[in-house]
Amino acid sequence: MTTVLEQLSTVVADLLREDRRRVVLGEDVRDGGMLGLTRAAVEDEALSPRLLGLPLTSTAGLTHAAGLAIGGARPLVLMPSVAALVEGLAALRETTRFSKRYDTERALPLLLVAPCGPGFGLGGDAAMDAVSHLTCVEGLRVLVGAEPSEFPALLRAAASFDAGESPTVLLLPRNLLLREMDPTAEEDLEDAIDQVRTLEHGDELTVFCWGAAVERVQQAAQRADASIRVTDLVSLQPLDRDGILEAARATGRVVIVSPSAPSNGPSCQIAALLADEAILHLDAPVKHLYGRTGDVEARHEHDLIPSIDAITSTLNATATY
Amino acid sequence: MERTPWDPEGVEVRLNEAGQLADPNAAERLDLRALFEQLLTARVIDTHLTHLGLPMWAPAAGGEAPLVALGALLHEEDWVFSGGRDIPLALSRGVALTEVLRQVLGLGGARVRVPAGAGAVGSSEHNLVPPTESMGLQVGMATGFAHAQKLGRVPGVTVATFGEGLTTVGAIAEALAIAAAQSLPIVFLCKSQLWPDAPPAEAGIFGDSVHARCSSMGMWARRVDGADLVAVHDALDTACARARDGLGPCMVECVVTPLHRTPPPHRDPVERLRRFLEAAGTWTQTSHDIVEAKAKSKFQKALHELGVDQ
Repeated sequence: MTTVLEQLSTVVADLLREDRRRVVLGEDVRDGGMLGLTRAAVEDEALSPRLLGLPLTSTAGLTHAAGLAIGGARPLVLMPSVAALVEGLAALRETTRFSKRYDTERALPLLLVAPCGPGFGLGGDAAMDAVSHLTCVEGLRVLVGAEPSEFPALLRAAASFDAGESPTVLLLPRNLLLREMDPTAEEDLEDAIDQVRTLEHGDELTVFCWGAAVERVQQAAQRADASIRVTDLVSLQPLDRDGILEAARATGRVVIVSPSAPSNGPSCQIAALLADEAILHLDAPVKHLYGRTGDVEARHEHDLIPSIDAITSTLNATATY
Repeated sequence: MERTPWDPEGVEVRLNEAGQLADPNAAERLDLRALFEQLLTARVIDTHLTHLGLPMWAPAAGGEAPLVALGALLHEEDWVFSGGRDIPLALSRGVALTEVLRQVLGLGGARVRVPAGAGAVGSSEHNLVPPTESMGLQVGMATGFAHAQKLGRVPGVTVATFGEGLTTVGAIAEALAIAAAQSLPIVFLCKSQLWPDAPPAEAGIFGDSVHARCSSMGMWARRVDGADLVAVHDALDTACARARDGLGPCMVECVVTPLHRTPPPHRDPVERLRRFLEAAGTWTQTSHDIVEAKAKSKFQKALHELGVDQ
């Protein structure tokens, strides 16, 4: 057995070997990186020229990575925290708009990987998932993992860019990164990463969730008194509009369980989408459930995700509305 | 000639205030008449654009020499990440004047979208990247691009142009540090405005020079008189050659004088070079008038093609 982080380290090295255009940027990446994601790459001398240590500031790292991508490289930027991405929002905006402004055919093949949410007892900005900030950046693809054994496959898929995908942020919930997995049983992704994934096939109520919330929703669905359809969004931007509408219409009742701040972000977009295009199919108000808000102390960081009890209670109330 | 507050300190000069070359051989490889025509053409276009009264417009008159010199030195495979007010460079790279005007005037049909004001231009066909909306981030992109050139062993040099005010932005300091640490093939061209009465607080400049800051971080740097096309050309030529030879990043700080603040005539790069050419017997008022008339006609024709009434 190995941890998810260790397996991700193997994937990072594989990605570098598979495509010489790939380079890895980040703090201490030549020494294994802050999360150890370049430990395997460091052991291969042939890869070391493409491990680029950079200063700490997010803006510098992100604009440098964008320049590398303009020059034909495929940068993989390992961020210490999603909070660093928020610091670099201006650079993200410039990166996503570059191809249209500069009249080039393809978007910049830039992948940013950041741990997010509670998990390491950090609290504060490090414990947030910043999804509401990131999805404000037009043209930025935002993916978030939920099933740890699939993280390696998700990283491989996000790093592809063969279809001209937009600059991408891959968020990895911290509370899942130290889980153990069988490295020989790395799972392939069953669905495309731009489509919602149905994890439980109930027919009375649909839950939309993502990232660190998914596991708790699945447990709550087992306890609930109704037949629950659990869907993992995977792609928070762009949203799979057709998949969301189909799932909502299938049950007529919707709960959105968010590990993110309640303002802006995918929760609000989903609610607006359903009001706009599925209102006549709904039998109950759309319920939005989220965890603790504000500047959260380390000891309370796991409250950022709604509890299983709160989710279960909400599912039952909405199912019987 | 007596020094005035308009004369920059600590700059290299090849062509002095009177239009005399300190070393007669300093310009033997340069076609100074052709460069003079480019300077004068750039001046005419800038003057006409200024008269259009565009919102946020900042005239570039007085700062043409570094751009004309750079344009003469760059190869087709080289890339420029522009910081604005670089129209002479765009024209030198071969960007059509109609395309430049589409961008500067905010007209439809421009191939590249640029931030409003200050003469920002770009062209994907000519490896000319326009400035970013967020101040100075194009310099970070430039260092990243140079890094890709180095990693891929791609021939060519990357140039980032900007003004001295932008050097107070953190992103510039970060880009300079990365370029130095990674020994990247990049030339930083800083057009430093001359402030005879000390810079205003908004400029964020505290007595030192951009050249001094870069020298202190171990970067090859030169500070030249931006009204002296010969000195500017020499410094940029050396800087580009160093970058092409893999010797790391360079900073060329050119001290330029905004002419709208009515400095003495010798601070004007056009006038400085005109004096030299006149003394050499290769300038006449008639030839001068012809170049100006051609530039004016070209400008008006381009505006007419674009359907813009003056």
